[in-house]
Amino acid sequence: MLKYSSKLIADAVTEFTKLPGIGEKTALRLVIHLLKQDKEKVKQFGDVVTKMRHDIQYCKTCHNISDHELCSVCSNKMREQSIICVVENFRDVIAIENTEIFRGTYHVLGGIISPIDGIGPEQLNVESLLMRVKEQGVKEVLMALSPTIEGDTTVFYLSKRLQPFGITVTTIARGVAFGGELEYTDELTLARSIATRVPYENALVKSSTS
Amino acid sequence: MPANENSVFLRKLTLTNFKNHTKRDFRLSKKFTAFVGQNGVGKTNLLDLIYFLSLTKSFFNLTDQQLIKWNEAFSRIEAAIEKKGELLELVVKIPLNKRKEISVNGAVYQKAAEYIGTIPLVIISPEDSDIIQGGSEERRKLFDNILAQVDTAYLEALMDYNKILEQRNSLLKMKADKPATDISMLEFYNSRLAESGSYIFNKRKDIFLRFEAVFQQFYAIISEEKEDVKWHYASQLLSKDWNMLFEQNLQKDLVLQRTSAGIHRDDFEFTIHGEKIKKFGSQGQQKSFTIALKLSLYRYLHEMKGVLPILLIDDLFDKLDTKRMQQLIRILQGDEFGQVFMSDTDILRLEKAFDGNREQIEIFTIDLESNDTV
Repeated sequence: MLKYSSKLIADAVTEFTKLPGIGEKTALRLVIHLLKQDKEKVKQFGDVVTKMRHDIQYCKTCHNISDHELCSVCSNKMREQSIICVVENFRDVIAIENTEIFRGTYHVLGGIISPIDGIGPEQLNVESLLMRVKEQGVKEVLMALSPTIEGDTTVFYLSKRLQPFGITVTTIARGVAFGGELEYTDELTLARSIATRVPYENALVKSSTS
Repeated sequence: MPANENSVFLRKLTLTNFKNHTKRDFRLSKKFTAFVGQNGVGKTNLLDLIYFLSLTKSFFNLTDQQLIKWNEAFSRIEAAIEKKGELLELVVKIPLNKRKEISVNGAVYQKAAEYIGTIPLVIISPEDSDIIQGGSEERRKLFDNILAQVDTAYLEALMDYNKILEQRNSLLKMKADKPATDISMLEFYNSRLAESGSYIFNKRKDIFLRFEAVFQQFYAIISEEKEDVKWHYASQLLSKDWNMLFEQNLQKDLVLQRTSAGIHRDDFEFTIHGEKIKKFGSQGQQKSFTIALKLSLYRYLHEMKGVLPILLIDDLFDKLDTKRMQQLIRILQGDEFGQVFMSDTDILRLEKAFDGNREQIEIFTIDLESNDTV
């Protein structure tokens, strides 16, 4: 710990070092930066952070982070209610939203099944998904989970629970990355891409899922 | 030794800050290379280094970081290897507190699993007594080590299997702690275990079926005795299929909170005159047994890879009388074996063992003080 002539500074530095990736020297640099700013500006900085934490909510339908009871996707009348994309966390929602290709709604599980980490289906937002499928007239559930053992376990579990509803369950395609070279693709991915090959017409991306 | 079209031959070896060695440089041209010196000079470390070049980890279960010389910031190994007439320039870098990096002809390998097998290798060591004396996991480790060199998919299947097994066992524990736990995922874990496990099972079975005769021949030559030695693959999968095993063991698994059937329970049984060699074999018989075992795995690797692997023999005279030793060297001198590295404390004893073929062997005397090129 560096020595400070002011306890106020020392306390502020300590708080900044609690952030991921911030060491003490970086923290001090940030504190000194704030010290040089107008008091008003620093107040605004603090208020925004406090308000963000205080006012943030989880969408009561899809569990995405949201400013309101319903998130901006769920409350958007233009989004297809009949297709739900299941993801692990809200970072995945951001990633998929950035592609601008998906027009349905989401369901954030809040994790994936991994008994080693003590996470079973009970810890995830599974029941609310089943409820939505039952009540919302859902036609398709798209599983957009990582192709790991834990992701695959979750897909297996959910598709089993969804079976009685007789809806379509799909998963995102797995295979050779865009711009990737075949010879540098690992064998497992390549083998899978060949096993689950698609007719060429389907390979041309449709602009909408509908 | 003229570099055989079908062999892997280590031509050049340069190391910096590896274990107790600051800097060493070896040029190799003969079939046999011996590192000779007193105990504690680091002969075995040099063999471990060659082992590392093949399997990307220490034979003695040291972490990569522990291979860096004390108080140094990195370890670096360079090697030039001739394989089927092609030259491979190998560089291994182990920076302090960072991941190691392995490159061949300038191309960096991201995954160890993809690299392993580039330089096939078998080691004979005093530690081999664990194969007979130790638990079943020692024996599985030995066969996994060889099979991983033959085929990348084997190592991947094994890693996959172990990960799924861990999840399955955790689920069983969870169920015991909280009886309301949903265990319908078991069906998924079972099918994935069966998928990876079948691959592993078939490969293990293949060695055992095809190489017992080879093993018996080697044993007979080394021991010069007509002893009836056998090995036997003991796997639950030989008599039952995966589904049946999982079904029959479900209640037991729930009580024990672990998976009681699968290839992680495989064992390899070794017998002499129908009795377990662990209990009834003399020390000499056990040593002959493990050597014959290693030589047959060498033959297996040779057949599968199409090249003669490198053979390491740590502490050549360990538990071997002169007669068995000469038999062993006679076998290794044949065309069925490639480059051999060995370590011993006694130069005279070593030269005697090669009596009449002194020119076949290149001897490097290793000592503590002169830490430069020998």
